Amino acid sequence: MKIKGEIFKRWEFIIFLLLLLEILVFGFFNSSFLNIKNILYSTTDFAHISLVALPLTLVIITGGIDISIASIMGLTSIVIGSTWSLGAPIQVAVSLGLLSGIAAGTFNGFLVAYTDIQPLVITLGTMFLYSGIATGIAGSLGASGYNGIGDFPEGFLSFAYGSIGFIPSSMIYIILFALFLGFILHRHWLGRSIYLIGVNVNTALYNGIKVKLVIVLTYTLTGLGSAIAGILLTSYFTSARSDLGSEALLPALTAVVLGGTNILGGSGTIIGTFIAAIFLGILKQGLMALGVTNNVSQVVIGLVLIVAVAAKLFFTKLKMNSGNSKIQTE
Amino acid sequence: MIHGEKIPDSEMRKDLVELNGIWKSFNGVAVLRGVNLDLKSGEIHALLGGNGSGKSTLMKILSGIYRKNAGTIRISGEECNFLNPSQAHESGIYLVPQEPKIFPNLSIEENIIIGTSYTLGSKTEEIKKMGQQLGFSESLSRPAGILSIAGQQLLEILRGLLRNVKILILDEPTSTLTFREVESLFKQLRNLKNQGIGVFFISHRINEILEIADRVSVLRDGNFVLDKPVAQLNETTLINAMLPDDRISKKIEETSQKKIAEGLAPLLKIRNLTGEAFNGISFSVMPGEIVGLAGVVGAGRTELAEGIVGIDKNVTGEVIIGNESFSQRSPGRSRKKGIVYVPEDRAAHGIFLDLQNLYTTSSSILSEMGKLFISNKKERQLGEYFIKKLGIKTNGPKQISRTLSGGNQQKIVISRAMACNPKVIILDEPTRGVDAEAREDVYDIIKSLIDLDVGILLISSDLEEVIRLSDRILVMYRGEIIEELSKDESTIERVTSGAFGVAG
Repeated sequence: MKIKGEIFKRWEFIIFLLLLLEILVFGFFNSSFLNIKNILYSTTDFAHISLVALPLTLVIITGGIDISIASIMGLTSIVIGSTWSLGAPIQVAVSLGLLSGIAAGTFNGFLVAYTDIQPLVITLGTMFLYSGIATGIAGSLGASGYNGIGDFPEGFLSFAYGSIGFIPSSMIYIILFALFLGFILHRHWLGRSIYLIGVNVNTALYNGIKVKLVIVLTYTLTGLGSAIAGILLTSYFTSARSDLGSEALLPALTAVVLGGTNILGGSGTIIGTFIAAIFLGILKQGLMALGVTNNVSQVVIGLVLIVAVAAKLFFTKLKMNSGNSKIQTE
Repeated sequence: MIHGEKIPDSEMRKDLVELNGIWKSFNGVAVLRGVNLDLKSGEIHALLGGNGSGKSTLMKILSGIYRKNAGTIRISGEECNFLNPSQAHESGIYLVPQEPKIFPNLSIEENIIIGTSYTLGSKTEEIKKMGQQLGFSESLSRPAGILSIAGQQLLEILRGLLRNVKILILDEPTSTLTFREVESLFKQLRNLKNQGIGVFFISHRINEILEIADRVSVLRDGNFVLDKPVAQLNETTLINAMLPDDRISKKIEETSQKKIAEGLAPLLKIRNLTGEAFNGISFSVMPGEIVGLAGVVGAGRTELAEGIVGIDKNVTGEVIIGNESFSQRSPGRSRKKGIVYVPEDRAAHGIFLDLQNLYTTSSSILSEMGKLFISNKKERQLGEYFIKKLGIKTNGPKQISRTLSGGNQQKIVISRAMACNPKVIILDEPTRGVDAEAREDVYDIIKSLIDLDVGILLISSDLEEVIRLSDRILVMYRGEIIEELSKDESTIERVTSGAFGVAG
């Protein structure tokens, strides 16, 4: 009974209610929105954002930030495209793409953990670094920025377009990745260390937590998520381009914050980011379906973010007050 | 209420503050239950009481930070019901908080005049003059961030003086000061007193209260249980007044000395350890032994501890555990070798205030909380075990640590160290900011540890505490151990003189 009550008091539950409400509202205007299949497919356009927002949650809980995620997607894409066009088998090309994303993330992590420079500044620098490398490789292969590198085999293209039953494969990747990260964050010592660092990095250090290792790993995981997103986008657009996913940063940050993660670190959950990302994906699709222009939908998303965060602050205060009185009376 | 005998000239002095029947409750729990208190001009009135006894709340009501629920406040005879701190300032009340609030990037002068209508430079001479009287020698144009805590406290007092303070409230002003700084603060307080300023002095240090105060009031559970001139009081009467009635009968006695068996090998040997703040330190800790490390703040004790467990890595010399030399030290590796450090600054280095209690308890042994994943059950059992064992007053292992009292937070920090199952624990100021009852509990915990043959290095600025608990005392002065005293040789005089560089 007690656990049940706890769930209803959680921010994730409120976001989930908002998601249901959102579907009902859009369904009111367009009944096809009430079809589960449509709902699931409407999230594919947003899949790459979910894939980076999930590990980015870990980085932000430690008190860090990574704004190079979009560049890592582009870099991954170009590494796949260039190795493929140079004659490597697609499996090798994809593996190299994945590795380049992981390496880029790990490099971010090392710089953050071993220097005193703020993560924002470091990843701002590597954002330019990675996109510079990607454009450089693309240019040296003579691929135009607009068309990119194409002619991928059928099998690779099914990566983004496949499905199991009525569940699109991109949704399956997101769910698997979310489960993996959820276990890491909420059940593994690494995840606990992430919270401890976010709440008080000095206490974590004094208590023997491997602070530097943990920080590096959070950025490595974000690199991994960006790389998977980059692979997905390359498959989705059937061409490798250095600017793939370049618009992903702000929606990904929005999903993390909307999901209840404190932008200053210390709190947040994977399920929160997961639900918030779906919420944003459907919001964008729904507005589009209603004929709202892209500019206006940006305004709506911005407003939703601010209202939601303000509501969350109000909500936590309320919860804290009731919590305090409980402590006093017991 | 017990009234002291008449002090002739206090009859003539006017009452600066009269508080009558002050009630205050938070969330329905009464913290102050009809408290009466007064302050005369030129009087230093010490307030003593355990954590949570209500003294800080009372002072916050007086300085306009909290609002009372009932009762009357008279300032210089006039009834005032403050609405906010600036009105309190106008009435000449200034509270110097325990942690001075400064703007580190602004200059000292800017910090002093901030919030007044004075322009920069218009009060420079006046501030300089007041500063000189207080023994404050720093140039006013330097950033305030360079000041030591003692300097920041003087800055706070200067803020008050510039605002023509009549009633100065000092909340534990000496807890972060060295002996010498305390002496100089007391000199200044006597100066202020002679100018007719009344001072409320909140402290946990009884000997300081006996030295500086004219009158002492003891607050317990929201009521004053004692209000007497200092001449009628001594340490025992004050301690007994603070303790709950059922504790009075329990005599404060010497720690029963555990016999340290002959021929045992030391658990920890330090050889010629040298770092930035300490030089050529050598000593050893035996099983079941409490080695006290005394000295003034800044003598290098905390830095030494941090060098031993590898928080500070720029250290030369040798740390030997058992027979093995232990290099490449870090807190995590030290824990595995059996040495844990309970840091001095609880909030900054010891506890995760915004998380559940058990998260701090388990933080050093996460890898032992389950194979692949942390076992909820195992972790909760660990939390519950220590709550019971250490007598931690909390709703349970899942309560957020911030909502606990200082003493119980300290026990959570100690539970983290004990969960590591250590051979040696370095306790750095384990009873700072801890109320009298929890202090006794901490001493009991220390006793239970030495019964298990754990070695303890006890760093403390509380001389009575070091002397009472330690089997041996090392006195540090300016980064070196200048004296080693056996139990029999340890007296307050000898330890104090050693701490000031006068070896016996």
